[in-house]
Amino acid sequence: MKSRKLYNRVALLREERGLTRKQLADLVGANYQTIGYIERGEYNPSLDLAFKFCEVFGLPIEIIFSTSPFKSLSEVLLAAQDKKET
Amino acid sequence: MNREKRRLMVILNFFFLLLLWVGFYLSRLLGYPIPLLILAGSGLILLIISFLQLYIKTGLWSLVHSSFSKLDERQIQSIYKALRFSYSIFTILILIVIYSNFVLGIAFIDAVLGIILIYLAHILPAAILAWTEKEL
Repeated sequence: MKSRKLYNRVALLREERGLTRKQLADLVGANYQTIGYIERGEYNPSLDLAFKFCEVFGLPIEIIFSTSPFKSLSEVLLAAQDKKET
Repeated sequence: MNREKRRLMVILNFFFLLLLWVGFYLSRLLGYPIPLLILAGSGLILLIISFLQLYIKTGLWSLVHSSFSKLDERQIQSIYKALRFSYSIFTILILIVIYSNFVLGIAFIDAVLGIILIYLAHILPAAILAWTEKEL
């Protein structure tokens, strides 16, 4: 069975927190190359590993992983601004 | 070592193995002439050098032969795939050897062929990983 492509914000969140791939890999208990594969969308993590990312970043799973592409940061900020103004 | 270089090294490693095999059997067939023994010997030396460069230096050998408890889920998946594929290749190779022996009327696998087959059995999963993995 071919699994669906999973989109994620791992690279963005990692850089936001100033972590290297190696540091993040140590925190989630994976190999640093695996972090690269996940960030590039070349590997879908297991549910267990996905929840480890949630624990490390302190965010719910739908913020980090999605089956549809995420909006860009500028789109999210503009939408938030529009919502605030109305 | 990037993937292109690894692929080149995999080809070279198998070529040197073939050189050793052909060199040894030809020299045995022709009564061990010195040039063919040198060919087989150089094949062996180059095989060892390429093995050390490709499998030991890159950590591929230890990756394939390490306990699953030391690996993460993606590495385990990659190794499973490589083992499955190498099992198929090795089975076909063994069938070719058995069939060739039957056709040629040889009733045994000698030490050199035995060592080559043992080497192949151990090296195939690592060779597949060297060929397919983007990062090592």
